[in-house]
Amino acid sequence: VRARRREIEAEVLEEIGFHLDLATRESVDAGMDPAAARAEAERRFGSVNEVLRGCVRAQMGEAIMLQKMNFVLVALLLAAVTFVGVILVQVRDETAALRAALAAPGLASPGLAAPASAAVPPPEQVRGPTVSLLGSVRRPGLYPYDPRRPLTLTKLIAQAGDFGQFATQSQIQITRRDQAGTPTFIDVDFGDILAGDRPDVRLEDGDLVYVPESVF
Amino acid sequence: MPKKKLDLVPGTLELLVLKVLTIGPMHGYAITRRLAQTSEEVVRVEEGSLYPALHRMAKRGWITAEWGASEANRRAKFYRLTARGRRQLEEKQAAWERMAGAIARVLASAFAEQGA
Repeated sequence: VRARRREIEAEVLEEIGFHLDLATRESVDAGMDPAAARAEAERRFGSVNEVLRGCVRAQMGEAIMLQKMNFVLVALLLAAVTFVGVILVQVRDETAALRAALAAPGLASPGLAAPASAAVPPPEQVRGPTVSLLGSVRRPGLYPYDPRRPLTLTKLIAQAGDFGQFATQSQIQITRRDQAGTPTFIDVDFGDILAGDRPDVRLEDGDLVYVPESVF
Repeated sequence: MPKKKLDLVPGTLELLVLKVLTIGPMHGYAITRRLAQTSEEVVRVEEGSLYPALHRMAKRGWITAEWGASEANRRAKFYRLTARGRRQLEEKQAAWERMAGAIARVLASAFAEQGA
């Protein structure tokens, strides 16, 4: 296409040169100064570049259109290949991260219960009053309860390293038993505590805190 | 007093070029001069615009183009009317005459002027 375009342009330029020379000579023969005659011929002729473009378009309109379409298709193909490549790299990285997480000791499943941590003593080492924390938190387990230092739900979650990925924070359930073993159930929407709509829940010895999990 | 030059009616350049080429093969400059002379210098064409029109017509097969020697023995491209171009000329000329006649009839009619 490029070679054909150059060929057409060369021919048109030769035609234009011939045209301008004849027009100039005619004016000179009529008594005009050669320089003025040339300027007049060029003025009457108009834009050489526009004429060149017009002639190339007339001769090669379809070929130029096809070349442009070809260019656009190649660009789209490259963009698609790049996009697929980026997605594949991301999938590979995430798979590697997932494998590494699964290989970590103490992790039952990713994003749910979290790895065992030195911050939570094993149950057999816990002595005295405790609070049980179960469900979707990063470190579920038995947490020591010290009557001299009040423990709230917020502090307990903080000690557990935050909620799990799919924790339903609006439906936390606390089970508390009296001396006779009769249970009382307390439902807590953690968002209300965060928003200041309700006070933090003060926990007691033997409380069982359960954070349910849902992917919805 | 010289006549005032008029811009060519859009779409008529090809018609005029086809008509001029019925005389015989010509190069671009000769076509320009013939257009000016025949119209008694009334029709004004930006001379460069002739060439894309010539290339379009050659692409459509209305004319052919071939290099030859000019009067001054210089290489020049000559354009020649083809049979297809001749048919185009007849169609375009008939359409133009119908349109010009219709316009002339409207202008010549004696409508009563609408006074304000």
